[in-house]
Amino acid sequence: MSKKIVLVGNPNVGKSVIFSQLTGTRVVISNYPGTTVEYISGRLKIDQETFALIDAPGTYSLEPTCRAEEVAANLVDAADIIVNVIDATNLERNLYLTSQLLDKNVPMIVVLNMVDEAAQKGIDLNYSRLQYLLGIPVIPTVALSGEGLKELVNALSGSARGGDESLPSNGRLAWEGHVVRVGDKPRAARGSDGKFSSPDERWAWVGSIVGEVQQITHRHRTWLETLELASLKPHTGIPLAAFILFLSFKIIIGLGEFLHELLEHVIFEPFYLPLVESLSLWMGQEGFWHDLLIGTLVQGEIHLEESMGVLTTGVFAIFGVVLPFLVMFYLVLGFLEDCGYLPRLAVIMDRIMHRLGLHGFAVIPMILGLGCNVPAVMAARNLESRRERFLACTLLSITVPCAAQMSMVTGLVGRYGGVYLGVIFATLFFIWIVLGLILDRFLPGYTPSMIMEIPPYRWPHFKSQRQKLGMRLSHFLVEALPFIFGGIVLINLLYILGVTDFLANLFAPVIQGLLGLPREAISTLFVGFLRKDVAVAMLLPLGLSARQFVVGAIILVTYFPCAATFAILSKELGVKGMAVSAAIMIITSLSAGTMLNLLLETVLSPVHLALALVGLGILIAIVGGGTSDRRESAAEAELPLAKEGSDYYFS
Amino acid sequence: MFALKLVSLAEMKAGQTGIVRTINGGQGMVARLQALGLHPGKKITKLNTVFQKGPVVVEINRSRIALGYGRACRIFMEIK
Repeated sequence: MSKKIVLVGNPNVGKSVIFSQLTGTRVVISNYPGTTVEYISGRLKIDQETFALIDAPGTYSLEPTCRAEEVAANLVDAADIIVNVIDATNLERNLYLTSQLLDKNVPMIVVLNMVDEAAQKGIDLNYSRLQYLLGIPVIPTVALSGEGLKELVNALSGSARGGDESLPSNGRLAWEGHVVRVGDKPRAARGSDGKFSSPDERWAWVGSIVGEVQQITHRHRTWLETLELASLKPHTGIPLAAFILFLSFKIIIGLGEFLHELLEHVIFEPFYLPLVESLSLWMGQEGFWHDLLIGTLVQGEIHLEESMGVLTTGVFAIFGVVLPFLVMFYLVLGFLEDCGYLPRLAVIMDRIMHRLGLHGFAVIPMILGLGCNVPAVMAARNLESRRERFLACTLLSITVPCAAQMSMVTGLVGRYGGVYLGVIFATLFFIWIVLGLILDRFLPGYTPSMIMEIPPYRWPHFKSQRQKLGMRLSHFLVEALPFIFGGIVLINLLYILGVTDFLANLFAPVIQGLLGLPREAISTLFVGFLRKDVAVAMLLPLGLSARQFVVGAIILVTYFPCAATFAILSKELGVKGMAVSAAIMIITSLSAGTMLNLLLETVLSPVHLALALVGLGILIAIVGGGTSDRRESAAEAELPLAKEGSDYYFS
Repeated sequence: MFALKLVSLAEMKAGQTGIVRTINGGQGMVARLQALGLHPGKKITKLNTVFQKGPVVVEINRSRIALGYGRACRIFMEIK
């Protein structure tokens, strides 16, 4: 087995950037703590020897407080060589972990990343002094541009050969050419037996080092830093958040729509449609394979949206409808992630999330979920307690529609009028609030409030933006294509075999009676498990009214997660948790669908209904929410030194 | 002699700097704050005004940390 080099460090210091630069493996990189939650391993070849380079989730200490940190702590124990990545702009906090890592007595190298940013902020660091005090190699780097990484590889080759190598003394970032032996005792004063007896001792040690190597020149606040403060203060931060979210929404819907129309009118109608038409004629316009590939003709003609064949609806749904919105969504998300806005949104949203028994950080999984629920469920690993994770995952998989599904809804809702999109969003918001509140009340215990680091604003780096977008899109295509085609094949098969008819009759009371949908709609529910976007597209040939479309869309968003999300949810929540969560999903979905069926356009117009749902949601949150908060204060009042054993427990 | 007057982090005013004296919390919370650099004896600055029991943002060393209101109430500061 190859030796393991593990990249360890505080969250958001650039471990993943270094990993991706060294191994050529593409990984998602963002400017917020907790992007990496699972370890990623890649190959790194140094002097003919292949190493496994492992990118660990960020952690502040080796005593884990959430699942992502637990992963990191376990990786450290298995490491042959540790590369401790340190944020040069924040030496003090980063060195605390370093002190714990040094205790492991494993060959170790310190990478001082973001030295450019430190210099910009007026932080002057004496690299060679730091190296001397720590007793291990210290390599200054700017990982995004690749500066210093060559030196890192050289140093690694030194430690790999037993640590007798001198460090490189050439190159722009080289320093005085110290000869350092890996594994030498750190020279800075430590406890009497070389170990620290308490965290205070560690901090004293850190303080003594920082005092010696760091000098700070005071700089005037830049406008970016002024903006940083403004986005955290409530009176400026709330309007700013509203503006940013509104703008993001406008860009995604507006430009997505534009791209969608463009593709439809420039590529699909003039070029693609005639091609499929001639294929259909050649196949004789009927037969098993024709039904599968082309689908059914609508009034004697092929309809790209409604025919439901692999080459018609399948191809058009992916490339003509979903892709345009997806591109726009991920462009905006990538920008928000990399500039560092998401943690600030978390601060602003903290108050609202508290009403639902969550806290600000849970906003991040929710937003990621608007792209795809799978990474969102993974991101929930940053949450401290099992209670919080269950709440966040359940809420998210019920009420947060993924981009593919929402693109399809947005692309199709136009024929009924844009206001119905408003009704759909308002309903989801309402369910989100009410369900969160109910869960918070019935789940035992409480959710402790948040502790989160807020990174500085940074300009998104073009190359990593492009890579991230490319990765996410290719991921979508690779994942989506087989499922979309599989879904279409499945509905055609079920139809041909008569299963659809049988089930349609069986479930007719629910589908027709409660939800007011045609009984054939049952088949969309099967497909929805494979691909929700295709399932939404399947609503179209049913010839629904506006109300039925809204009910159908809500049911498809909420009733059950897609197969991919289901798999990851079962893994995160366990079988029992998943079963409870699934029961909640089905009940919620049926009640919401029935409610809409009864109210929309019979009692209230779409505009009034949307406004009523949003208003009522907010009202309910104010009046009824905050169970967790009350329990937290009660626990505090009872026991001055509150037992926070429930703070973090293994599942 | 004056008794040392401590204020919770939640009650501090925006822009005020103080020294952490007591953290009234369980082991988990103390360890977590400790690792972030928030421990007794540390000088920190509160950056924002708290609105409706919203989170408190403090500057520790050179980084910003957001603390939920519930936790901010349990961190006691000495203000000079």
